[in-house]
Amino acid sequence: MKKYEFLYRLEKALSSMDESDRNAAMRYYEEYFEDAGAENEQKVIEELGTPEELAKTIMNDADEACCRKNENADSHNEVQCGDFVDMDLPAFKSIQGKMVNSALQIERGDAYGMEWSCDNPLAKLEYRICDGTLYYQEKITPKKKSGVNLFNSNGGRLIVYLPSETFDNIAVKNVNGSIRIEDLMADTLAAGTVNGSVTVSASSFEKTIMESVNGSISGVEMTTNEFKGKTVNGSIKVDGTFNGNVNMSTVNGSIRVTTSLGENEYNYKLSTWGSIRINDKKVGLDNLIGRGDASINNGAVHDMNISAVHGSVKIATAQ
Amino acid sequence: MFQIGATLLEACVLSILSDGDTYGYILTQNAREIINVAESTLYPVLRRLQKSGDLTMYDMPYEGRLRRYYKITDKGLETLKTYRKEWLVYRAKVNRMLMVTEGDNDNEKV
Repeated sequence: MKKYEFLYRLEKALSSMDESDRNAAMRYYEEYFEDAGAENEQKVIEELGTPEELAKTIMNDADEACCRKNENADSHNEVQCGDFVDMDLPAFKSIQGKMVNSALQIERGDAYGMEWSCDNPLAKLEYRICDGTLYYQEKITPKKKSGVNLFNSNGGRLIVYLPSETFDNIAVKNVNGSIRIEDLMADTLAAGTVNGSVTVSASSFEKTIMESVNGSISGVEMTTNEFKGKTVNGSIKVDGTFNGNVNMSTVNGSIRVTTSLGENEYNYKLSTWGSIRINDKKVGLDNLIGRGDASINNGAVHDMNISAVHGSVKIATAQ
Repeated sequence: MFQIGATLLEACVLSILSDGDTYGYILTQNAREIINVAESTLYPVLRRLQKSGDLTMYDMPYEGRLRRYYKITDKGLETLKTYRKEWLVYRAKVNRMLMVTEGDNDNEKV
């Protein structure tokens, strides 16, 4: 590799940095090469490592510096909508983020990174990594001129890539957009949206909260020691291993739970205007007019509290 | 063999600068004595020290371009004093811990 290739790759790897910070860093290394002299070019390249690794070191440190000083709490990176954003990120243990008109996906990647695609030029994404937490927020600049906004946005999509690690707290919120999470292991997950579904698969958490207003809640191959699933207009369907407290509620939608624990390992409090079945056996008041309430105390360690209004409840356990 | 922490690195940079202003490449060569390959770039250290006001920088023309020099500030000199005091305490502790050998006369230290 030659010096110009090194510097080119370095600049590219620093593209998520603030422009003035990036220019300062580039200037340092350009001068470093100059002062080392052409005869030491290869030596310098060897000692600096790969441009991508060097960029990580620089950005990592920049983020730590950002957190160290409280006055810099507002200092963040910002990307405008329009360019396809695709970047590597330094390592982090937690996520705290909020999107407005973009769907969120969290999935397995080779390294920490994120991609954001959107089609609303008024939108921007602010993010920073502070004390091991990735913070992000989508912001929409309101149009200054009044008038009809004929711009039609389909909404964007943020993908966060995580390597195979166990994370601490993942707290992700959305307004108009679904949340989809795959292959994640963390202490806690709190995923909520207003208009959109929340889907989690092949993941495990100590504590899980999945919430929506207009959208379904779905969990496939989940393991958790405390679960709370809540929606208004949407169904809830989960399967996996559910320990501890299992709480689910919906208004307009059905509830389906498949758990690897045995039927007698839960105490049940179930209520709906629809029907209730546990392992295909009908439970609750056999009442054409009233609510099918069922309260079964098995003296168990785990609890299942399920409440629907206009939907049926079906629970399948290990036999 | 022994990992050098970020603070120690900062202290060393300030110490080098207290001997006179210099630029990145020379600063790095001087720090080579203790800097190991894994931390072979001083840029993050210099950036931190600049943000904390312990050093400042200025440009000098050199062979048709500008060369950036780093200079320790009065605050930096105070910080260096503190680091030096801390280092003596730390060094004594490590010495006591590391250099006393079991089975020998307890009072004997290398």
